[in-house]
Amino acid sequence: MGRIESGVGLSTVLDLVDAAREATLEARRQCSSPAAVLLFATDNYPAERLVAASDAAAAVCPAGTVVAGGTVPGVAFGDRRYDALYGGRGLAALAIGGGGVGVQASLAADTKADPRAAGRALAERVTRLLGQPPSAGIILSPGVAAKPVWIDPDIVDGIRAAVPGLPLAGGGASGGFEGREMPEGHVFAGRDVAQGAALLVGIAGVEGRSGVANGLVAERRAGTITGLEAPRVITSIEGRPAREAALELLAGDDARAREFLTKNVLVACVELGVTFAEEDPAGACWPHVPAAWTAGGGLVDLYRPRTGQDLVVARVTREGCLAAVDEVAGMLGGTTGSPLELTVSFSCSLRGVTLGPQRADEHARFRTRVRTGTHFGVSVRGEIGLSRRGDPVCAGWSYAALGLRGR
Amino acid sequence: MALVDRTRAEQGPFFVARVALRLSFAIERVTRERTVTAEHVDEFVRACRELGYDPR
Repeated sequence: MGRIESGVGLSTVLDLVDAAREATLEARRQCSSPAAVLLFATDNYPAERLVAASDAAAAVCPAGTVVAGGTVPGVAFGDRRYDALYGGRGLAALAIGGGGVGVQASLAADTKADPRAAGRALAERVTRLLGQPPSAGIILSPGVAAKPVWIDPDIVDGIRAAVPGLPLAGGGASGGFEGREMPEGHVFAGRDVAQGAALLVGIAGVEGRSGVANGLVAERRAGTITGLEAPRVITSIEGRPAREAALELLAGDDARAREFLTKNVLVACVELGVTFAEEDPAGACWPHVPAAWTAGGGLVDLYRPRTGQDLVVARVTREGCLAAVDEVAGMLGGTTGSPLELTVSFSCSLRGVTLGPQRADEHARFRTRVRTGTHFGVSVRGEIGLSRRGDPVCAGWSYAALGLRGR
Repeated sequence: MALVDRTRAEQGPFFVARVALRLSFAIERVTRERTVTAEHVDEFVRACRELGYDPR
């Protein structure tokens, strides 16, 4: 049976190129002959230096090592965690290899014209490069910052059309914040880098498991979306102007909450731990976090609202966020299933606000809830994983993970 | 406002956004209009402390 070798290196030096070299060298101390090195740089590093960083990593690896990665909100390994949202800066290198393990990367620069076709092309290319369909995948996507509309579900549909049933996890790359705007992140494969693009890392010769959860609890029915300015402005809920209805539903009688929500609905929802959500047939809640108000009294929802869609008001708590970690660990086999050799988790950067100081424990907790060798965590902006039924889920405020073991 | 810039660098932009929710004035506006007063600064510092950070 094959065995996965992996290593993780973390660097916080200011220069991205030096950070890539330092982190890759550290990762290679645990995985000397990687098939691939994935670099995750917090989004406060300069994206224009990503190609140079990729070159620097490749220069300290055996010839032919695939180097790929992107800009993300945060990285975590062991007891070290760096989130750009909280002023941290870090680059993590994840080296993956092992006998019988193949890793290849494919980048789709244009994801907007036809995201489903872009996803399909990603998977087909990775399959060609591997010489076989991947048995697991890691994806860095345009995420919720995609302009003009969230396209991760289409990209994932395309990937799964090419490789049905692929255990896949990952999330949105990040370009930080500019005022209240969220620029799209950058991803790269070798010397190809693009903004608002998608990167698929396909892994062959492994068994993969994926899971995603968020711990949201539905509190009460909010109502049906009755008016929509496509693609993402809700104009009315149950026939009432969206802003008026949303403030009443989310704040209730709490005047201070209403004041916060009026000033900055996204930050207020995250801080107050309240959001709209939709319930799936299995009863899980998937958030429709209000992103902004419009001048016309509408509500911007980044998660593809639909006319006729029923929404609930859902609560997000620290306990729920941690329960989501446990749930995903269970989906990967927990502490009684077959041991995994490498797990990678993808956590919404907003969960860090909910968790507060406990965000430092998030990935460490996962590490104790599942049998794994190496565990590595990334913060992303829009999470991707598989539900218990094996269906792909693209969501926010969630925790997703991929578990691998040699086959 | 230098204090805001330093806070943003040390605590991140989301922290500053949470602080801004608690202020009676708009940070961007007073910075743009160069009308920052000692009262603005005091209010900003108080709001930071409410969230567990002392920017001074």
